[in-house]
This record gives sequence, structure tokens and C-alpha cells, in this order.
Amino acid sequence: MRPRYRKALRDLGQDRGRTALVLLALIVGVWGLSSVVVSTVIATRDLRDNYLVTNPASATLWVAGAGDAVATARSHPDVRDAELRTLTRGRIQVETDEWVPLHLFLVEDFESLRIARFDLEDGGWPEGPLEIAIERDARQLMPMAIGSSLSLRFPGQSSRRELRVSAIVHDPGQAPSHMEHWVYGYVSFRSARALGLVPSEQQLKITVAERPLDRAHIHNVARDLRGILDERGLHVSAIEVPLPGRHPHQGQLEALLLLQASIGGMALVLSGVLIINMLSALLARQVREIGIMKAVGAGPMQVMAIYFGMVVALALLALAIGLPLGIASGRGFAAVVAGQLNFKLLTQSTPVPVLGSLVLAGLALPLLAAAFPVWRGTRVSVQQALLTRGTSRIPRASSLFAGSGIGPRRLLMALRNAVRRPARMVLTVATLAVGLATFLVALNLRASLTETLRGASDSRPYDVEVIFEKPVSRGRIAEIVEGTQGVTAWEAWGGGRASLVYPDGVSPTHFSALFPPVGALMELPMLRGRWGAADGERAVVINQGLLEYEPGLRVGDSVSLRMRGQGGDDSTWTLAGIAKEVGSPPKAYLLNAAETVGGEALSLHLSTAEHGASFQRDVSRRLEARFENSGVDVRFSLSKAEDLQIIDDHLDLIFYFLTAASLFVLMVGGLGLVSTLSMNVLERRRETGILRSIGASNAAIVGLLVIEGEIAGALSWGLASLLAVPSSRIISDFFGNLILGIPLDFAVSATGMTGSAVLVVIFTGLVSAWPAWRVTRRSLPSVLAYE
Amino acid sequence: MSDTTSAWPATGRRPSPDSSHSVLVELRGVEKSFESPAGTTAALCGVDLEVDRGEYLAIVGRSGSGKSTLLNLIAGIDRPTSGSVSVAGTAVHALGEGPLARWRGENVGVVFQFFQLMPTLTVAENVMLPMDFRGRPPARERKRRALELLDRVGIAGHADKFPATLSGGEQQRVAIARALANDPPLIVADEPTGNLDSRTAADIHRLFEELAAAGRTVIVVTHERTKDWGFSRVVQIADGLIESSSVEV
Repeated sequence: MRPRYRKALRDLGQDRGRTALVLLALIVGVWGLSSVVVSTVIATRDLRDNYLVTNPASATLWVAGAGDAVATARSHPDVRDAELRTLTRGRIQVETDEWVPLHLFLVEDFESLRIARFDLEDGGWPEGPLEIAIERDARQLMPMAIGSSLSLRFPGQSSRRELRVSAIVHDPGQAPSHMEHWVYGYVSFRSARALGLVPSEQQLKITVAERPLDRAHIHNVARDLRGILDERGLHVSAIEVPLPGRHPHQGQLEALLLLQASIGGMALVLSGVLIINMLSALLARQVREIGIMKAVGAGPMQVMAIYFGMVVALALLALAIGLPLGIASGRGFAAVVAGQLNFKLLTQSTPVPVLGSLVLAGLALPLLAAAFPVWRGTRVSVQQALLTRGTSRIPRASSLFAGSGIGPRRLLMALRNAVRRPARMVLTVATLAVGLATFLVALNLRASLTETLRGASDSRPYDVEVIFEKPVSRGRIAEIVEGTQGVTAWEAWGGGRASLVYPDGVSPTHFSALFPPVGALMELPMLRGRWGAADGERAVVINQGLLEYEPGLRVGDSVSLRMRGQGGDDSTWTLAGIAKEVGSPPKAYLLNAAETVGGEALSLHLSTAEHGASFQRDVSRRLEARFENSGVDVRFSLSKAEDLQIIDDHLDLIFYFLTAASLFVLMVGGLGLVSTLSMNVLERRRETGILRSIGASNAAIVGLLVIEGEIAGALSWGLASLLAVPSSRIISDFFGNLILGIPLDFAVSATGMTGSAVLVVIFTGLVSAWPAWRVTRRSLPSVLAYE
Repeated sequence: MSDTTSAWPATGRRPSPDSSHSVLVELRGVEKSFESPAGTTAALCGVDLEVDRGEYLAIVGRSGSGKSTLLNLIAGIDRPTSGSVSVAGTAVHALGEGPLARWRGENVGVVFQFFQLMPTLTVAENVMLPMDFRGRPPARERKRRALELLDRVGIAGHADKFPATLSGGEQQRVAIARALANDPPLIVADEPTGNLDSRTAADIHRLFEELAAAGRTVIVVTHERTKDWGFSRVVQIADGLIESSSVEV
């Protein structure tokens, strides 16, 4: 090896502690970046591939009556293929006394499915009369295996059904069961007939012949097909056109992973700060050596190459360690994402261009960070270098405190020392602040989620909600509910499925239209307008979920509604307001409408004597059992705690992922502080000797250096707090809109703020006390001789 | 050290004393001033100087007289404020930073008062460093050449040691070997013995004398003046001007 590069390596070895810190920071940076990039690449690619392999439908049309819908659709020149998917709803027992909704697909021939296919993962197709296939994610809700028996209930049937699990299937196009708290099942037509099941909806799934990724074109084809079907007496109640070629969760996943990749990138960028500090200190010490090298014939580029060589050596070592770690943790992370979103990881491979980009980033970022200090440090002339005597310079910043008689002398000294190298201090404080701020953002996001859930809880004054399959008379409900232990108050609400009617036709969006009784406790927080109706006013309040689908609605508009399956004329209402309803599907609340549906109700809202989760759940189960025994079909029964838990499950994952990613940045920030404080102590070794020689005790010296560290820590924490608040608000708005359709209720984590302050005090105390204590262990002559 | 005299080959660069090309270093009207917060300080005030090939020249003067500044200008370490510095026909004052570094590597060997060896390189590696920067001789020959030079200055046995383990005299011998690494025609030394005891200083000067005898031009800045050190000429400088130039007998 050339002597100049041998010098570079040995210079790094001269200061092993600091080199190790810089290397560690680079490893953490490379690890963090590669981990999130690899997981992003694998997860987004495999989610897309899982979805595309099912041959997803370009559009789904809800049709009434089977007729020749499939043949009609297939004969349309713009339709490539069409299939009818028949569904019914039921309940499935997941634990003793616990039932969740079952979405049951009735399939004529499992082998011939062509659109929105699902895979057989284990067992055989349920060809027998009492056999069922279950979507695999249900395993997170209930124990099941091939051959095990499951209890099911169906509307209109008084007795439970026991079906044998013949297959576990993977249906990647469905929302995961564990998040939605429902189960997908699949039975043959033969089983459906044997069970006496009545289809509750029929979905006509089509793929388009051309331009499969053109959503506008698909919309046009679907609307055209609806017209043709209507003419043939096949009423289409709704049309859904998903984003073509993209899993329903693809956008959310990509947004989350992009944010994580940014945080991972930040970890690597911040590790560059350690490079800057290390090289600046090294070059300051080696000014004379640089001069000598130039004097014996080294050109400027040759000298720079020595220090860039150091950086390349460190970066290569960091890549050699950090990249395999990142690939391994990235794969693990992708596996967690796949588990959460119920898709399979098809391959563990990371594309070569991605690996190449990571290597490039791992080399380029440290070199970029090194560029300025190397350029500045090596441009010194031979003459200037030889004149350098290594005397301590006093920067202008230190003179800020000159002449100030305020405060203890030792604190003033520490303050002056802290800003002796202002550029280094600024970089260190900024690095730690960014790390802390990223961590605080994750904690504030969690706090905002909690606040949002609390708000949602407050706006729903009911402990349990029960949704019936069919309208039930209020008298019958009263008989059942009033004898149920733990129920203190109840309201029976009418309702049904509805669509908006516009002058040019019926909107394809269908939603729940609910009729709260007069005097109902429910009062949602309003985004616009008001909750409530004047006497005799026919007022409607919609939630933001419905506004997303019908963005043209304005408060004060007169809207026309058509109730599905209830006959009668369309009704006209005044849009009184738009309510904020967390984690809710599209809904409309028709106020003063109870009388319009007579004495029947579709849902039950009740309060319980106690409001704990277990009490609410017990009442919910007791009620469901009583309704079952009375022959009333319940679609689902949900306690408030369970409802909030479902929302929490959707967002909690984001919180954990952000926290994990922010830890990388925090670690780099912490390493930056350790590096700077140890560097400060090292450079002032002789000064500590002088202080000792004029009578300062070891404790006084350690105390002085600890105060310096605490000043850096306090500045970092203060800056982090300032950065974290606006950033947290942006992030919580972003994820609230992405997942729930509304910004989260912003909250600052008091625990996070105070906890991080305490941690910073302890951490900075320890990392400054350690090098300070070590320097006081050295003999006085040796520290006085240090240059 | 006299027994090592024969070890120094003639460089082949030493023309006959009467040749018009015998002048290696030529300074004309050289002025050098330094700016500082206290004002402008003139270090050299119009110096004219010629140094022949094979001369062993001493520049002497009191502290602050401008002798080190003069040496730095000759070595291409610093640039004149005005005037010209020519070494072996090259206008040194006109070279840019990069070409100047290359020129130094090929034409000047520098020896410092405090040796200025790279502490993290071994003795042999320190000597190889100028060859490394110059890119010559070929890499496989550098170690051999470094050992040869170390042998000539009498410390080949220390080749694999780090500088900190050597005495001051030994370190200065390493610095001289390093100065000779690229076989330059000019050796400059700034107070090379200022940090050494008198016996070791005498040995070092004997080395320089032998180098000059072998054809190299050696210019030494010193505040001492000892006849035993074998200078061929002594230039006395005071207040930035050459006060006298005397040939030693």
C-alpha cells in the first residue's frame, strides 16, 4: 500500500475511540437507510404483484337479480371478461360467546375463477355440502385448522350451523381480517343450497378490454354497461372503480414507506455530520503535517486524496457491516408489513440497481460531508502550515459572555467553552435535535391518535351498538333490551342503504342513512354547519366519509335521497352540516326522520352501567345471545372499546414503524454528541492540566465539562421541541387524512417531552463525565505536554 | 561521517564552475512583506542573490532578519511580493499551486528544524512518501531506494521504526534521507541543527558538506556560524537585506 494511504489508515487508528464512533454512526446510517429502502422495495413490489396475480376487477357493479348479467357484460365490446360474485352475510364464532361478521362468498366453480382470484393455500376446495374455505388472515382472530369445525349463524335461520374447514385460502384483494375484525369465507353453491342461504348482494366484476390502467375509461365502460343492464331490468345499485393495478392499501403503504425512507436517509445524512466534525478536528491537528507533505512535493489533490481516502475506508467498512444488516432487517420489516396487510413475500431478493444505489449513497454522502472540511483544511499554504503553533483560538462567540458578571464563574466558563468551536457545536446540536425531533414526532403522532380516539369516544355517548339484518319493531327491541342486565338507556334507530339522486341520475355511491330518534344523545363534532334540525325541518348531516365520495355537496344544499329496497319516492332534505366521524364509512344522519319509517329500527344504541371495555363487551355478547334466542338476526354487535380498537389497529402500525425508523436518527444524533464531547475534552487536555496545576480539583474539572455537555444537550432538546411541534402537526394531518380521511386531533406528548428532557440530561451527563473523568486520571505532566 | 563520503554519487547535474549554467538559484529584486493587523511588515527589501550548483551556502542572521523568508522563497514554499525567483531555469514565483508542488517534489529537498516526520509512518515510509507523491521511481523500487538512502545517512537499522522512537539526531538523518528521496539538485535546510546537541549538529553538517561535494546545492539557514561546518559561502542578512556575502576558506 502506498505510504500516503498507510498514513490515512494509521491516522484513523491513532484515535480509535472517535473513529469507532464515526464508523458506528455511518453503520447506523447505512443500516437505517438500507433497511427502509429494502423493505420499501420488497413490500411495494410484492404487494402489487400479489394483487395483480389475482387478476383484479377493473370495476365492480352491484346488480339486483342474476339474469344474464354476465353474458350481457361479456358481450360488451369494451369488456374483456366478466364474472358474477355472490355474497351473503352471517356471523362466525371466533371465541366462546364472541361472534364477528362473516362475509361469505358463494362460488359455483372454484377452479374456473378468472377475476379477483384467490389461492388455495392449504387443504382442498370445499366441494362437500357442509364444508367451508376460510381466508388465512382469520387465523389472527380465531384458532382454525383443516378439518376443524366452525360455528356460523345466518340471517333468518334460528339454529347455528357447523361447517368443516376444508381449505385455507389467500385472498390478497380483501382488507385484512385482523384489522377489520371480520372473516371471509367461501362455500360452493351446493353448500349454499344445503344451508338454505340467500344471497345478500351480487357483484358483477368486469375487466376492460383495452386501456386497463385508464380509470376514466373504466368509469365510462362501467356506466355504459349499467345503462345496458338497466334496460334489461337488471338494476345496478352501485359501481366501484378502484385505482387500476393498485392494491387498495398500496397508496397508504407507499406513503408510509416513503416517509420511513426519508427518515432512514436522514440518519445517513446526519452521520455525515460526524464525518465533518471528525475531519475538521483531525485536519486542524494536522495542519503542519499537511504543510510538510506539500513541502516534500504533494499537490493539493494528493493531500485531499489522503483524507478522502480515510472517508472512503470508513464508508466501505460501514457499507460492509451496515448493508447486510439493513438487508436482513429490511426483509424482516417487509415480512411484518406483509403480515399486517395479508400478502405474501414472493421473493427476498433486492434488485441490483437498488443495492447499487445504496452503495452509491453510502459512499457519496460521507464524501459530500467530507468535501468542505477537506477542502478548507488542505488549502493551507506550506508557509501558513509551518507557522501554525497550535495555540487555542478564541472565537468571537466566546466573547459574547466576556465581562458578564452574571451567574457563577464556572457556568460562565462552561458557556464560553461550549461556543469555542461554534460550527462544531451548531452541527452537533442540530444533529441531536433532528434525532430527538424525529423521535418526538413519532410520540406526538401516538398522542394525537389517542386524542383523536378520545374525541371519537366522547362524540359517541353509547357503549354498545347493535346492527340488525332487517328492521325490527321497537316494541320487540324493548322487550329484549329492557330485561338485559347492565343496560341503563337505549335508543332504537331506523335506517337503511341509500344513494343520492342527482338531476342526471342516481349516484353510484351507496351509504348508510340513519334516523336517530328525536332526543337522541348522539351529537357529532361538526366540520361545517350544525348538528340538529328545527321543528319540522327535514335536515341531513353527512360525515366526512360521505363527503369524500360526494365532494360537490355544500351545507345548505337541498339533496334528494333514494332508500334502497324500501320502495317509495325519493325524499328531499336540507344539508345541515358535515360531521367529523373517526374511522367511519360514509354515513348520513337524517334528523327528524324517525317517524318516516314507522315503528321499526335497524340499529340499537345503548348505554351501560359501567363503561370499561370488558363490561361493554359482556353486555354486547349478552345482548347478541338474547337477540339470537329471540330470532332477531344481528349483523354485528360492537362495543365502543372494540370499535375504537379497530381504528387504533389501523394507525398503531404506523406509530411503531415511525418510532423504529426515528430510533436510527436518534442513535446517530446521540453518537454525534458523544463524538463532539469527547473531542472537546481531548483538545483541551492541556487546559485541564493547567486548571489542575493551579488548584482545580478533579471533581471541579469533571463538573465543568459536564456543564458544557448539558448546555449542548439543553440546546438540542430546545431546538428539537421547536422542530417537533410543527412537524408533528404536518405528519399527524397527513396520516389522519391518509387513513381516516380527516386530520388527527393534534396533541403533544407530555410524557415524550418530559421523558426526552430527562433522558437528554442523563445521557449528556454520562457521555461528558466519562471522557472528563478519564482525562483527570492522567498524570499532570502528560496532560501538560499534550499538543 | 567522513567514511560515508564515497557513498554519495555525483548527481551528474554539477557543471563545471566556469559554465554559464553553473548558477542554480537566481533571485532578482525580491521583496517580501507580510500583512497583519498591526500593519505591513517588510521581511525582504530587494534581495539579489545567485547560488551556484554544488555550493554549500549558509544564510545567517539574527532572529527576524528575513533569513527563513529568503529560504522559503528559494524552496518555493512562499512567494515574493515582487521580484523573481528562478531555480534551475524555472521561474518559481510564477508557478501555480499544483505545478509548484510538483516542482518542489522534483527539485528541492527540504529539511526542517523540528524534523517534521509523519508520526504515523515508519522511517522507511517517511522516506518513500516524496517518491509516492512524485510517482517515481516505480512502486516496487521505492522501498529499496529508501533503504539505500537510510543506509547512507547511517540509520538503515531503524527503517521499520516509528519516528517517535528515535533520537533527535536520528530523526534529522531521516529527514535528510527524505529530502534526498527524489534526488533533487537543491537541498534547503532551516535551522537543521537548532534542536540538536553540538556533536550531532556537526555530524549533520558533515552530511550536508558531503552532499554538496557530490554535486548538490545545499542552502542552510542558521543563526550559528561555525567554521568547522564547511560552508563554501556565507550570506549575512540583516533587516531584509543582504549585508555581506563571503566565501569561506
